[in-house]
Amino acid sequence: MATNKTQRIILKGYSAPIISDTVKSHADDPYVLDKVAKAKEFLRKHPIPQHILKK
Amino acid sequence: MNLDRYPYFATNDFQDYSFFSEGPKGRIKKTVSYTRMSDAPVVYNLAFGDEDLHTGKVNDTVITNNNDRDIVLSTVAITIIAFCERYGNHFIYATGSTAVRTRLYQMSIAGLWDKIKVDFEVYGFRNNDWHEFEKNVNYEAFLVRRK
Repeated sequence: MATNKTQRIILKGYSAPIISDTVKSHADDPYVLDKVAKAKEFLRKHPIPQHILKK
Repeated sequence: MNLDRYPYFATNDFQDYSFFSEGPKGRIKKTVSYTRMSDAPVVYNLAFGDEDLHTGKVNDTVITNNNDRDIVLSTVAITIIAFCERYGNHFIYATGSTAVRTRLYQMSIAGLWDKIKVDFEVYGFRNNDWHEFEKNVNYEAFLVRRK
């Protein structure tokens, strides 16, 4: 019987990403555009307070 | 930051990242996309979700249940470091597409808090104001800045 097993490769800590042509820009993705529009509106209504900006 | 994470990949402008969640539900492509949304102060939006392999579109309404929530969040955190290495330590805004999803983010941040707080300031929005992140508190949105 066929199984659908995948092998989980886990690394530890930071290292720079691998640049790959398989990663697409999502700048025009409707989901991303919607998230950005909502985020802008949220921060317009609830700006970052000075005590956090100056920290 | 010594977190367990997946190998991850980026576009050559370091604004988009992808990695694969591996688990009982199979191999699922995740994507993280950063978009500058204000200049003073500089704030970037972090959009995160599953990438449909057929359409290439992002969706974060799917609950994957691939038994790797913390590894996925750790990998997203690592992309923040990579992004900041390129663009500077600016504010990054993140929220889930639903209250449930935002709560999942909060639980993951809380679970990894001892490691995350070493490298990041994290703020949460609740009761109409921004507060320093605390465990066991529900927030509507998050702001992250690398230290």
